[in-house]
Amino acid sequence: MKYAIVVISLVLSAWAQAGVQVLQAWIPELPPVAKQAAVFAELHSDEPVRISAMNSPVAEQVVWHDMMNHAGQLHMMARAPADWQLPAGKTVWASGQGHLMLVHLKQPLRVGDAVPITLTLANGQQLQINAQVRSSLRPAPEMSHHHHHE
Amino acid sequence: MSRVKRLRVAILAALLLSALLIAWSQWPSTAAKPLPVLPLGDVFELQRGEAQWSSQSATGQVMLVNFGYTHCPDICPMTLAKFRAVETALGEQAKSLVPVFISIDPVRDTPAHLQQYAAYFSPHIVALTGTESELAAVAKQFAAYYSVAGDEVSHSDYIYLLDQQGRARVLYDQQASVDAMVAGVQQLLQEAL
Repeated sequence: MKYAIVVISLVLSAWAQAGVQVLQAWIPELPPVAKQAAVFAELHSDEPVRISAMNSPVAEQVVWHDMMNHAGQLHMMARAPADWQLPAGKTVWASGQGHLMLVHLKQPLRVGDAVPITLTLANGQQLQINAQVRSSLRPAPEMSHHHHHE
Repeated sequence: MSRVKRLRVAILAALLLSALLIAWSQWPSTAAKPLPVLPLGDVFELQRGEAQWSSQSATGQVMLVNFGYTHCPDICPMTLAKFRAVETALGEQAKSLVPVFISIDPVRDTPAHLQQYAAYFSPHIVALTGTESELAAVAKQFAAYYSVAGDEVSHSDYIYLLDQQGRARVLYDQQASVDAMVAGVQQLLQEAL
């Protein structure tokens, strides 16, 4: 019995560590000649998680950009990979707050496309995101879940 | 009429008058308030594709002007999508509107790339750029702020509504709806009649 409880709690704690959820990942509509694309999403992590790598087959590079909006002035800056850390709780990549940037797109992204992005966590786990390309003026569709580990 | 009665009538009349005044002040005005002329902007000339483009060529038309760049993640494509939505909503009246997108990133935004980028949203968008000093001068006219250092870019994100004489009349922030811009454009078109 004791053994079973230990096993269950180990399983539960492993599950908790893996508890990163991605909600509503999307890419604002952009022209075919665009060379980079922003990805917005909302992430929920049960505990701080470091991201060691980010990749997408549609871009040469995936980076994390922080945004600040002060009185109508937007400031955008790249975050150093060493600081790619998801804090416990919610991380919002939203317009005006931050985003992932797909740099040097290898192909045009069209409205309706689902763009795969892989986040490799420091513990080796991989988190798959499928970001929908959609019009930036339409309200977000019903919340879509992308919660998948490999 | 007794003194008390006269007083009652006077109080009643005063109450009635106040009620009428309150009702009048809160009555929705059918005519929109005139838009002020803002101390921003002036005639400007920048590069459009291979040629120079002067804002004077839009005299008689209303302009929506925004400063941005094509590597911009969200606000700039969103602004251009708004320009397209304003044109669509205006229908026939859209021929009296010139949407202008000024790139503040001349190193990465060549005139040809800029044209292609903007044309995706609407072939009517006038996509402009210039030398650093030309851009700095135009940004100064509009009190627009920007700085570009590789990936680190800062810029102000206002959309300016200019009237038929090129005078700035409304400054929209990014929260402003497409409907608000359509109403602004229509008010200026109406004003000119």
